Amino acid sequence: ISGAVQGAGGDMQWCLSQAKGSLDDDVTEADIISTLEFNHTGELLATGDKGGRIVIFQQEIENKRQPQYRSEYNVYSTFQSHEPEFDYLKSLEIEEKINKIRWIPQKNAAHFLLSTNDKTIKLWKISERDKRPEGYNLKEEDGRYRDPSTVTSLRVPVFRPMDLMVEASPRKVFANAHTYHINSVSVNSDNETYLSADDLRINLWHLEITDRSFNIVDIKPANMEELTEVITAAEFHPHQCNTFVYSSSKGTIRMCDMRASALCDKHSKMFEEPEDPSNRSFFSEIISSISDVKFSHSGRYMMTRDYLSVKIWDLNMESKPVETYQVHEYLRSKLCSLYENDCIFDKFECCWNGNDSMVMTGSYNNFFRMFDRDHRWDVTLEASRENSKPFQVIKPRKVCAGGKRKKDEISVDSLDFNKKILHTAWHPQDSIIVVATTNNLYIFQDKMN
Amino acid sequence: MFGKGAKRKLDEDEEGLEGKALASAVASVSYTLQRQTIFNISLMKLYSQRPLGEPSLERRVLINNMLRRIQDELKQEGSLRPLLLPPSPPPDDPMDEGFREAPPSFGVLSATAAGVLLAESRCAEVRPMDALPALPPGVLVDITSSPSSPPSSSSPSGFLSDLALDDVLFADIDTSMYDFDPCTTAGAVGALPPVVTADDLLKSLASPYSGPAPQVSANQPFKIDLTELDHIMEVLVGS
Repeated sequence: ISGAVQGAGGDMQWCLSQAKGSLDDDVTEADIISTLEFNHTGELLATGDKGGRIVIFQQEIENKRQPQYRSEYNVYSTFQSHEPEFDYLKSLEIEEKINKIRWIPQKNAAHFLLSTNDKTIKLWKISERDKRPEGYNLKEEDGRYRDPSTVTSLRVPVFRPMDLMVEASPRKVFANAHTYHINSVSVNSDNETYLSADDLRINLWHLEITDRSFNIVDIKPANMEELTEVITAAEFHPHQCNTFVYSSSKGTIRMCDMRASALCDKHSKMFEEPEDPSNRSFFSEIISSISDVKFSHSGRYMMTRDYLSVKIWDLNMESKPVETYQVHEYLRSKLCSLYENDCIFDKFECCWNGNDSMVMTGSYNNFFRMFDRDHRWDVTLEASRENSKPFQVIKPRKVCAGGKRKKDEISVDSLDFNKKILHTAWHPQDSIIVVATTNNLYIFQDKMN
Repeated sequence: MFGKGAKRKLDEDEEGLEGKALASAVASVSYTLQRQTIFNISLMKLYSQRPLGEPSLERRVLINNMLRRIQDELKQEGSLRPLLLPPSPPPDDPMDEGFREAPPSFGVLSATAAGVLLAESRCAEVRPMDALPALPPGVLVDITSSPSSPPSSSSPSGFLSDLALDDVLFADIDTSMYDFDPCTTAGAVGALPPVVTADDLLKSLASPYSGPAPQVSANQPFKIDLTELDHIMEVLVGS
């Protein structure tokens, strides 16, 4: 399956494979999914929620031989990653919500991932145990020590098979390095270091060292009253271990080279598209704020998500993106209401498919959008249990911006802005996608006849 | 025999001019309306209490930038002038300390629908109330407890220190503009403002073109009686 050829987007037929989560319309706050990440092979899918828990799903390997069942994912491990804390100095609660999960490339049988809340990053080891030692000399099977006087012979414990147990243990805790809220974590291609970014600073860590980190970007002004711009996302280049980018609330992306200087306050490149004067409004700055930045797998491009669009940038061209895709342009005339109800501050993420030919991002009303870069084709799909039966191809949706609404179209005013898809993920090697609604996870696969 | 019915050229020009002027007047007023609405929404967003945890720094910065932009625009426009009269010379240097206190509040007052023409006369009346007793910043601003303004930040009001307190207060009593309309029943400050549509504005703006003075006129400074002044002071001081 890993060699499967992904057809043009227009040929793809997406079917719902699984929907996981509560059927309740009433959402428990703690269950709200806050992050989503495939590991490098796509075998594991990690989700984090507002309650500080991580649930890891594993792809059913037996099913991989039968293409139509290849996207069955079952729970592999569940653990509490972060707990709520209280900052006594500022008299404020530190949320346990998991902001980001990033997998470390696998080196041995165990899996490692980094998870972070607003303040603290943790390195977790997830390992399998399927054997256990039996036949201790001095202990009973239940662990109680035997009365020494009853021990008359010597025996050596033997490993016997047991039911598979998956254990998650915290190996490192990287704390006290961020005054502001951590929005990004990114593992370097050197597999030894990683960066963490908050609103005003980016720190560089060694995966083995928890008591030290290096500050590599600091945009905090001397006088906080002069603050007009914050860091919104950061990521290491997938192949060049000296290069990383960070995006800002003003719609700029800065690329930095760590070889140039210890403190990367000077960027080596700055990507910014000049504003289209015909679209100018009170909300121009807010909608230009970049909510996510992702390098392509190839490392030649990067993608940014702002409120209304997805942009693809060629790393060699700073003046403007090479491609721009409108996610929900029909919202442009509603920006004032979206400002009032705070939706304009929603942070949508975006993702690439395995061969960088397609990109995906979420929208409102549980809609999500896919763009085929090669064929200039796009589609709007919906994550909904009511409207999709397993293994049935889901129908494209269309939003009617104004004028006469056709049958099957939904008008802008009927959109549910509480149903937002902020997190989506694309399997690195297969046409399997995962989409998170508020508290449910939807897994779709391409039918691939 | 009747002629072809060609319109007199002069009339056409007049109508064209009127039409354009009115259209741009409506556009300007709706721009100031929207700006006022966004300004008020932004203030409410910044000052309303968030139930749990820390508010997002990015959100506050963006809202703050919005307020600053609008405030700068209002400063640049200076004191108000009626839309259709020739623009008065711009007020003195906005960098002047004394100037800083006054115009933002007037800007807030003036940018309401019915207030455009009233503003200048209103300014004269309101000026004496300008000197407000200083309220402790903590009363208004809950970002004093924000972790993102580090202890080193000089002013407890964080990044809005250049926004005069009057702005916040005057923003609240914005609706009093409607209450001073001499044609409505006298001054219930709590009364709901009448809905002003674009059509109403056109009627009031049309006054320079039509003859008789309309309900709202720039020539008639309305009178505020002492009780109403007291009432306003009470609202401002929060007693």
